[in-house]
Amino acid sequence: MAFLLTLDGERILDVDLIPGFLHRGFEKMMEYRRWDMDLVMSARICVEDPDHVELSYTHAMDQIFGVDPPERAKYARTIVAEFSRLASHLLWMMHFAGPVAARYATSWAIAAREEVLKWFDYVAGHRIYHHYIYPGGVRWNLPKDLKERTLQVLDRVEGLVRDMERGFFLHPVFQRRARDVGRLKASDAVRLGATGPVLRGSGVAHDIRKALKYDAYGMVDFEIPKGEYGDAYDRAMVRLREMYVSIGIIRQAVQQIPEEGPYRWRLPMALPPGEGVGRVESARGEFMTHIVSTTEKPGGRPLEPYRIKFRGPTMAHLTTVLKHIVHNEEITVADFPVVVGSLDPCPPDIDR
Amino acid sequence: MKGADTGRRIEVEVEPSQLRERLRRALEEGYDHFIGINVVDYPRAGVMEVYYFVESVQRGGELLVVKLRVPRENPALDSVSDIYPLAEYQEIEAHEFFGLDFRGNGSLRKWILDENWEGPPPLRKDVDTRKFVLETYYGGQRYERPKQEKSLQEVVE
Repeated sequence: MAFLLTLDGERILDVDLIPGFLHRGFEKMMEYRRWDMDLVMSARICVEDPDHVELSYTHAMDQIFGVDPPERAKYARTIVAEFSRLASHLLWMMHFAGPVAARYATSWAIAAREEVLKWFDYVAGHRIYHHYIYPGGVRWNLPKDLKERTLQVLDRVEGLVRDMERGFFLHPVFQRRARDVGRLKASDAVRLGATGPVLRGSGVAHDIRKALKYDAYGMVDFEIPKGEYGDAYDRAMVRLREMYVSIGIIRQAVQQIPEEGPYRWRLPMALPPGEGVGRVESARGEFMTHIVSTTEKPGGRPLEPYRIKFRGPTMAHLTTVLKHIVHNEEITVADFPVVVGSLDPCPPDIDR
Repeated sequence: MKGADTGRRIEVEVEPSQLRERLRRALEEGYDHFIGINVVDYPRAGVMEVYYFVESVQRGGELLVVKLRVPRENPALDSVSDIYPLAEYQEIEAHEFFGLDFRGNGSLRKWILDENWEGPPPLRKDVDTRKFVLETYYGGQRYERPKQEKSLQEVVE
């Protein structure tokens, strides 16, 4: 992924996105593979936040199979998805602190993310791609000491995030660097298709978790952080507060999760015809998967979905939103990494 | 609906000629947030189904799906990029991968596939991308790792 900038001296007049070579042809490859293999591929679409892609794929599959996951699995999905959001926001902080010349903060973020990755290793057996969420529930049962261990991890992570807040987010140098850079009004954010922290940073309290109350989000209590001016600083602060919100959601979920009960319904291998739309609030914004399954298949095997479409949040942020910011504000070359960093792009969203 | 109800949606089917009018009315009704375009190719029936996903932020994320069918031979639609700005890029994607033509979208071009795909629109169902790549880029040979002249043991020694 690259940008083509049109410059006048230091000022950027226009920006064009050049999509790159990260992955290619996932949607086509998935049409040739079984639906359970596609799940494993789907996580690769966003490296930083894989569980939300899996979750949206799983929701679409659940609809095609007409299955409602067990209560225990709903909580497990919520916990894993929120940990994924934490890991993603911490990685974003690493990417963002570099361009604003706060190298010390990048190391803190990675140290905190390490705790989250270790937790994933403990629950799912993998650090980056977990394949834990599965149509019909979750793949493995949760460990017995989940509550104690998770609460310990959260305490450590929260301590590190509090340090980051004092040492980085509230630092006057960072405030001066990010305030009033890359402003986006609320009406424009909606019109241009922005989602997630970019939309909420502009003051629109729109969150799919709250709106659709999927999985266990209807059973936990949480607020939606939002910004005021819609500049890079507001977007950064929204992400910081979302980390606290995620920690709060996980704390409630591990207390409420049923101790006993099934964690997955066994599904048949053959995929019934049907259509499913899975929409989830990923770390970057709304992620949608649309799956169409028909009996009209060239090979005749009812195992592969007919068509899968993924809609990631990054395309809107790097095309319409970025263009709007550059056209309406005096953005210099030095500001550009701050603006792009505050939009938190995930290149494979576009290059899939 | 059973299962996770994130798929809750209102589906309407329109004729290709009514698309712009329907989406303009949707915008007035409060569906202000454009999500995306999906295309599904049905070579046996000779049609392509095009789905437009729009969402309403003010109505708590309500999803509207506008669905229509275009003939596969000459797939052309009116562009809606002046109603929803994000549609401009989604239309480019549909144009590249399915060969759809959007009248009124001035920026249709090779964008994601630029400089790395010289062939038919790859996501169409009758395009066998694997065969095409083997014939075009590998001269009909199976893609394999080059045979190693030395065994690993010899390399180590």
